[in-house]
Amino acid sequence: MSSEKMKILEMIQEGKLTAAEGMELLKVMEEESSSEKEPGTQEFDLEKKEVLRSATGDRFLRVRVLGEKALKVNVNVPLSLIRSASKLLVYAMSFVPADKRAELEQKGLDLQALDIEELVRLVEETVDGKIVDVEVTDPMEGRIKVEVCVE
Amino acid sequence: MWSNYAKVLIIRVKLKGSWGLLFPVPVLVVDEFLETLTELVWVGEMTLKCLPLHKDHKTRKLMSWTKAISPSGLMESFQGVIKELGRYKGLNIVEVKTGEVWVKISLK
Repeated sequence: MSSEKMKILEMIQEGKLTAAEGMELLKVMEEESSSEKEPGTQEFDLEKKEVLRSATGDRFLRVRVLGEKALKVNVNVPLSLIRSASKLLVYAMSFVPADKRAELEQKGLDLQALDIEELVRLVEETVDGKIVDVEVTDPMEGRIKVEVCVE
Repeated sequence: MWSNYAKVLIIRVKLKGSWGLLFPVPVLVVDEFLETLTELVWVGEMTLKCLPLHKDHKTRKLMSWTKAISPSGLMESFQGVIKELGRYKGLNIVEVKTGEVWVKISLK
């Protein structure tokens, strides 16, 4: 079984895709591999590829917190979304008052020189797997497991 | 046209044993709204750039940020985030479950 098909099955298991969507993607993949491409269907094929790319190729930043009792946190953010949002952060930094910016510069932190997009790009290219894996014991919640990973 | 673009961002809040709330946000509508708003803001931005600085120091200070940063650029970036979000149909972005409350943000 190809890795793309495996990935689709994993995504169904994780609840990121519904069974119907998964079936649709698998069908598209089979059609692509078996049928010859007609010139008129090029645009449609591009759309199908886009769907497959979004379902199989994109990487996610996942944050999972699991408590022994009731606590459960599951956050899935596509890295491409973080890249888009990083532009917003650049704008947000423009709102930092000049005096505070000067204070930070004195401490060696130049907000203007901070390249968030590059930082996100580096995470996307170099980080793979778990970044944080912590287990703590809370008197109220019991054992809590925190996991941050890029997949 | 067959498309895998997410249509709705669903925000669900549920309290154990009592009421629940489901808030659907149509992604395409928000996208179109932001696009229109960006153009409107751009027009305002261009108009403000043509206006001379106000004599009153307080007003001048209040208006100065529109010249330092681009509000339309800010809106455009926000629209980019919404557009990007729309690509992930079926994604559960956030799911938080505590003893009493359950919050889920997903794309359908």
